[in-house]
Amino acid sequence: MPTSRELVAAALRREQPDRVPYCEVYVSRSFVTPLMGWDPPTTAKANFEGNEFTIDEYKAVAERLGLDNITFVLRAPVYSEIVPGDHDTLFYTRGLIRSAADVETILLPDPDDDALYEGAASFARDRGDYSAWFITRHGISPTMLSMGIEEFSVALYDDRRLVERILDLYVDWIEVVAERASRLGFDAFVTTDDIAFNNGPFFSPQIFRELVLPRFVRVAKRISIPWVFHSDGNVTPLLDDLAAVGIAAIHPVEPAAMDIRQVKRTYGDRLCLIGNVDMNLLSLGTADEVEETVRGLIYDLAPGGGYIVSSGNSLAHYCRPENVLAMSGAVRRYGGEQLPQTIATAPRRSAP
Amino acid sequence: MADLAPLTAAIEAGDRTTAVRLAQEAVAAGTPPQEILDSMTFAMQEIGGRFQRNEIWVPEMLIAARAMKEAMAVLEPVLVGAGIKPEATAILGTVKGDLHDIGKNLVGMMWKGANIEVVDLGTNVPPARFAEAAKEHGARLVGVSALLTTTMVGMRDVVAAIRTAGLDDTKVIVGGAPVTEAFAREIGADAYAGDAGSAVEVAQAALRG
Repeated sequence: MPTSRELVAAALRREQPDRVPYCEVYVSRSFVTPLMGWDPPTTAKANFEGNEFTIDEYKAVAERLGLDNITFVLRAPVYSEIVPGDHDTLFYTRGLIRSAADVETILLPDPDDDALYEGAASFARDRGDYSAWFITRHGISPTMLSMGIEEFSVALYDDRRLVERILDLYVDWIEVVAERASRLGFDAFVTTDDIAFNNGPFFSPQIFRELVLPRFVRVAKRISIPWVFHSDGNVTPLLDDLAAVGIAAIHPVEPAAMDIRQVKRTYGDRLCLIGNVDMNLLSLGTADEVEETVRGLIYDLAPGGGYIVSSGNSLAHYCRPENVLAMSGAVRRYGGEQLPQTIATAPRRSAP
Repeated sequence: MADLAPLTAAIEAGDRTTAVRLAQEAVAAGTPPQEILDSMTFAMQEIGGRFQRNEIWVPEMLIAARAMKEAMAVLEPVLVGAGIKPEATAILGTVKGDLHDIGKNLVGMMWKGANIEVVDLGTNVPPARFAEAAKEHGARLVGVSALLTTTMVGMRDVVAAIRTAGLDDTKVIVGGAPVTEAFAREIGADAYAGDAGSAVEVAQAALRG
């Protein structure tokens, strides 16, 4: 049987692996603590820019949950007020960068400093058979959050240059980090920039093409491993551009926002799809309902390759453990040898 | 009598300088304040529809709302003088345990643009606070937002608090990423708004119903 790493690599190449993989981009420590029988943390561990687990903890979590991937987080700081919520959750609230003078206060860690990658290097080295994913942000969401979403939106019309200055600080940083992450031996490069609501992107596809896309191209040139693009909400209007840049996969294809079967039909020849198991179902539904949903997703999306099972966002503290175990159980039950090998979806595009 | 179509167009385009100037000219020309107000609320109604149809996005909605707000500041003294009041008062907030506010803020802007007075309680609002504020302000609408599945379930408590307070004429409208029409029905909310664009129509229908 191929390793988890090989299964995930095949799916990201849109090939059909021997078994459909199961991956998550984020697993909350609060969620797994009771499941793993760990003592509750004595101090708040949540951190947007840090890691929830040591490598050994993460491998134990992956084994318990049937995950095929483990993740390492390295993100540039966001200049926003951060307010703690319940269950170790954090919320970005008021952006702190409002003016050209404020931009001077942005200090990012030196991306050329080897010390920045020490944790990442050992994580990738010790991954075992798991697919090791490097989690970061491209720069558009740190820009939005550092300015505040409303202030960012208005500045697109009032002061586009200010937006570009902030965005370029982050993109300059991530260009170097992306290249280093590729060389460290990670199996996927994941950017988590939320840029959409359920009904569509925060800003127009035109602004995306003017402001963001050229900066995606800059980063894409530095990456030599598959790039997984994560955004909440409905990013359908951006998918042509994302595929053209060379994005390998999109996550989490939220069911309330996107019709994953329609996306598969339209983009299945260009993008691997990861996710779509509804968060409401994982937290409020039954294990039987979860199993039936995952079975349907696997049968409709996995034949021919290019589908990875994942939650429709993350394993948050409020997911029911029995439902998450039902999800990974369904992957083993329905995603293996009994899965048809024929390509039943994804029309092939003719070469230009 | 001023031609109000350019005022409507300026608000739709988010051109606040022109919107303010045209509002001033309309007032100076003695245009009935209700007509000026209608031309402005019509602009925001258009903006809501375009947002729903993905013809415009959040930035365009925000600059239109800003133009509306600044033009309204010109008109408000005249409206008061003419005895024209907001159509209704709405209490708005994000449920307890949730600190997300962009969706709520967009709904608030759109409701204000529809001449609904908005009392924004902010984020992380306990159920009882919604009921207290609705009673205090005589609100006919309560808008409740949530971004997380775990906080969404707290909307049930808000509905219960409004009912327990005996606010039978107050309609509860819920919305936010995880919220569905079915969930809204299940918890006994009066209506569900899928986005800020539809929130105005939903509110107006609730007020009529």
